[in-house]
Amino acid sequence: MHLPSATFNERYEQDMAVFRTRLQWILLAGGIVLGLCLPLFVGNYMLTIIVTAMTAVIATLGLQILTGFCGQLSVGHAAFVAVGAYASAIFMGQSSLPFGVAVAAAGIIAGLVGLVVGLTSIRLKGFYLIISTLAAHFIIVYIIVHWTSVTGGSFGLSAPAPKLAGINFARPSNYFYIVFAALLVATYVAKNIARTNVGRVFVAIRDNDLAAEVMGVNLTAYKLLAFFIGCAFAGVGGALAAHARGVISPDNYTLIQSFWYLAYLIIGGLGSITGVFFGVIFIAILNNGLGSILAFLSGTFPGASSLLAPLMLVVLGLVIVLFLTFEPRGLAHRWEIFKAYYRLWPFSH
Amino acid sequence: MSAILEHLVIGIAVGSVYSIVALGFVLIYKATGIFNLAQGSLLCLGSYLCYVFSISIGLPFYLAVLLTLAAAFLLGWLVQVVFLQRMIGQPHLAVLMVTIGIYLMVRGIILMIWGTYSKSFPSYLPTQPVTILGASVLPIFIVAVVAAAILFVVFILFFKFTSIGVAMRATQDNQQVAQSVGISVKRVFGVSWAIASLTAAAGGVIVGTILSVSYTLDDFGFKVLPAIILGGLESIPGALIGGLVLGVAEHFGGAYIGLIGIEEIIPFIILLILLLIVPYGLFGLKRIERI
Repeated sequence: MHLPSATFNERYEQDMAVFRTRLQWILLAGGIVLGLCLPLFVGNYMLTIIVTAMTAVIATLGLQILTGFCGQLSVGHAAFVAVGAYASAIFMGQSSLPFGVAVAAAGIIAGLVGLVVGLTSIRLKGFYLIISTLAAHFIIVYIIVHWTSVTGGSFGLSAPAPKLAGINFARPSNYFYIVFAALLVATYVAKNIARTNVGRVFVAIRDNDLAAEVMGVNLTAYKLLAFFIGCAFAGVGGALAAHARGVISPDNYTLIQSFWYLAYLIIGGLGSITGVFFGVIFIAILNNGLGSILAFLSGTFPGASSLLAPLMLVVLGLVIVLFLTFEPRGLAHRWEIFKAYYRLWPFSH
Repeated sequence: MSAILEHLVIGIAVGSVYSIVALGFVLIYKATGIFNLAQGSLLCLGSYLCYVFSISIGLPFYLAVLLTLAAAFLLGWLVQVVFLQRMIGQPHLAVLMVTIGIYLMVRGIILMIWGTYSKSFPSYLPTQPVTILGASVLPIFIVAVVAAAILFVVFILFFKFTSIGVAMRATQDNQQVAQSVGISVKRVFGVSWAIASLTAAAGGVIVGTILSVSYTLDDFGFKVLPAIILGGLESIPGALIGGLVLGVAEHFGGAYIGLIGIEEIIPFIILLILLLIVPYGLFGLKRIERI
């Protein structure tokens, strides 16, 4: 980490600190206060978009740990998000568990399903693992569609919004706070997994699994742990998104949705917690910007709005290809470059 | 007994369609080392091209098929030049992501132009089923079997005897070494994508006739993955046999396991089992990891 002039790390804790300088602490506090005040001056429509983006960040943090840090590429992430969403909806709707317990249980169940899928990672890597996660995606979605007595099949399932102490969390402006708190916790956990010994082991496995094994890393245990953590994040993100949406159906969890999560990672930058935020925000702005442009155009060209979904696929594919070609390290790398530039300005050497 | 035989015949007929798609996969992998998840998109585009030539423009069907194959050849080359040429020498997984990007783009473009309604070709074959070994099979399946057989023989000869075929094998082994002995890696990549696209388009015409032309045809690219893994990634006979076995297994599973829609995921269950037992397939190269 580059420090401003006259700031020196004298103790190990200072070197390890995520927030080191006073400016960083001020920005953090300002960010949290700004976040807490957001529902006061942002409309419901905008809040729904923000809540969806925040749940996507939580789910993508899991994929970042699994793929970005541990190097186990999963193209079935939407299926684990679906498992979390359905588990939470069933726990809350049919077993009438409290909201917090349902979401936590959803995370654990998604993690356990991830563990089962992760068993294939013991023997496989590279694109063989990609294919096995792809197969897992299709099998999980098949089970959701056809186990109608529990999941409601293709008609879907209602995921009731929580009610706590008389506050109705069906309103986006109230639900926002739950997701915001979850996002803070998830980011805290993910960041600390990434920078402590578990995260270092993950990075060692990603960079060279044989070398890691020679160094004494228990590959099986850590790969499975990565799958559990990654899918548990997916489950929590999926559960929170499900209760925000109110109704879930298998159509929300297609293979293409899995590719969206991968796109967040590629755009944000693999192996960076900050990158997840950049990726999700970038795509959200792109998606909603395109939506507004098309809605504006539909005044002159009727039916333009219906082009949004396919057009977004084209744009998403194009963005993935462009980022892989021109900036494989993602927006997080650009952000580092920008910070260095800002720190050194006006004398860049 | 006759019922089993009937299922077998139909399974082989369906499986030969898988084989055709799998051949394109294996070709690209063999030549460029790229695992092309956009193969299904090429198939889908091929069937829509054929639809455009035969219905929208109104050409005679067989001429339309020829034009489709030619157009698909160029299209494959174009895709390679625009998207993949810059990725030569990049990590394989990054290239795989690029093919996912291509998959998303093709799906979006198809939805934008043709929408979600499925289309059908003009009827160009007799619709009367033909009886083979007690099983009544539609003529299109016989076309599929014949096409798979022809493509198989052509591919085998191509890799064995033509200089570009040998160059492809060299490129797959090591791109830098291939370049240093004077092989144009760019040309190898272009030709292999062009041929794979042509193969996919042939599959697209057949699949489009059997089902109908719709944007969901690109799922075929994922459905044939088990066939490729079963046969081994770099084996052409493996792709053929893998496709046939997959077709038969899917058909038997659909007929004898009493779960609705189970045939959709039987390939993937087989795939998971295979990956855990023989990840390199029946005829693939066993990779030994060296430190």
